[in-house]
Amino acid sequence: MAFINMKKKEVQVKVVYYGPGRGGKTSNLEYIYKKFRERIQTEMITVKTHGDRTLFFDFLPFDIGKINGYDVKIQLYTVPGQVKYNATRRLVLRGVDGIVFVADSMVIRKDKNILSIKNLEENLTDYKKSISKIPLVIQYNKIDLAEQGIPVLSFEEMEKDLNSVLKAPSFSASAITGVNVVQTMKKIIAMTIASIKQELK
Amino acid sequence: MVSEKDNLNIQVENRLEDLFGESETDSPVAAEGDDLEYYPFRILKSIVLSMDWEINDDVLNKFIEQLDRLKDTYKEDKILLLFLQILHSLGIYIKAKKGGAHPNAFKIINSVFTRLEKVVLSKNLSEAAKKKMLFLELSKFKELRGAIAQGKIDSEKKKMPAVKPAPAMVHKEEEVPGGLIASGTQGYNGKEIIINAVEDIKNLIRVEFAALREELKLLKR
Repeated sequence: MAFINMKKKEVQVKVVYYGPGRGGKTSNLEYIYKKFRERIQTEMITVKTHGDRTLFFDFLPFDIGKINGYDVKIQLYTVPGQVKYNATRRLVLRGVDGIVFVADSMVIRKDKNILSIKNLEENLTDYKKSISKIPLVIQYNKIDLAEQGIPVLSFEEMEKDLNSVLKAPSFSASAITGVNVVQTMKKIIAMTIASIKQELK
Repeated sequence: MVSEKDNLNIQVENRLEDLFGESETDSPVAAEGDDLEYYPFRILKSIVLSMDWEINDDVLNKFIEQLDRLKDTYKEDKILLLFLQILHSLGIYIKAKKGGAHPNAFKIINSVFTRLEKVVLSKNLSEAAKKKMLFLELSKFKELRGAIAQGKIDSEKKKMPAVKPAPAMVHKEEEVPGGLIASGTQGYNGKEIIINAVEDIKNLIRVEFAALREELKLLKR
């Protein structure tokens, strides 16, 4: 449940970008930060390893102004995708309100996508949350690699692998070039705020 | 009449559009991301991101091809040229060694490319700062070359073309970017291989912790 300060009329919304290692979660946040930093006027915090992989998480907070009289503060997080960092992933998921699952379109990542979404489901269960109920947007990233002749899965194949049951809103995207990065974020924020409002009733 | 739910949706959409409407962005990234001419490293970045242990000849050929093209484009820019030459050397090395390539080679490709991007995209970066970044990467490259020379077991010696330092970069690091395939190594027995591997892991952990400490220092500021 989002953190709501009734006295200050403030809502904090936590959105986590989840997915397999090297799938482009950090690139999503970096694109948003680089493109809109003058408007959002906050800093992105990132903790990386020597090899430029996400070790703990990336964190990008920003305010979107007043909605229904409440100041809405969005916090975007990523988790480390590598299998060995599951404890960190679980920690970052604590108090999550909405999730973007960033899948990797490369054919060689097919199994890792499936393992990662299963891992998400298990970790949410630990917090008594259901993957089918929490606001979720699925992003099929790296579609630009097809232009380089690198084999990528089709949108339909990825839907079948990851979204046949969940039926979550989904986007093909390229976090490097920015295709559908902002649309993905807008969608998850809108869904999450609507869900929080619903829970408050 | 607009329902409460619709009203909320409209408010949220309006706020998001105000903040993230894509038509009026004035950030340089917005322009560069969509324009291949303006950001010529886009394809190289895609290739670098696609690299992993499943890397194949096709990807490496494209990587080397892109670097050849970019080296030609930036032949007048000594700093960029040297960054590109390091990447080129690493690409040729990995292509020659395939699965037997030193694991740090992949990390250094990522690290070199990240700094290369910073140099390209940070308009206000001084020449001195750019050189500092370059020399940091050169020293990593040098370390890798040393590690490869030390750990090399088989006697096959596919000589890789040495990276020629840019003429204007008169600095002691000029000697660094040579080929990565060592030419005069001696055979190791099993015990030595294990000792070397353990040392490699120790070094890697030390470097990772040092980097982590730096990040934490930055966060505390």
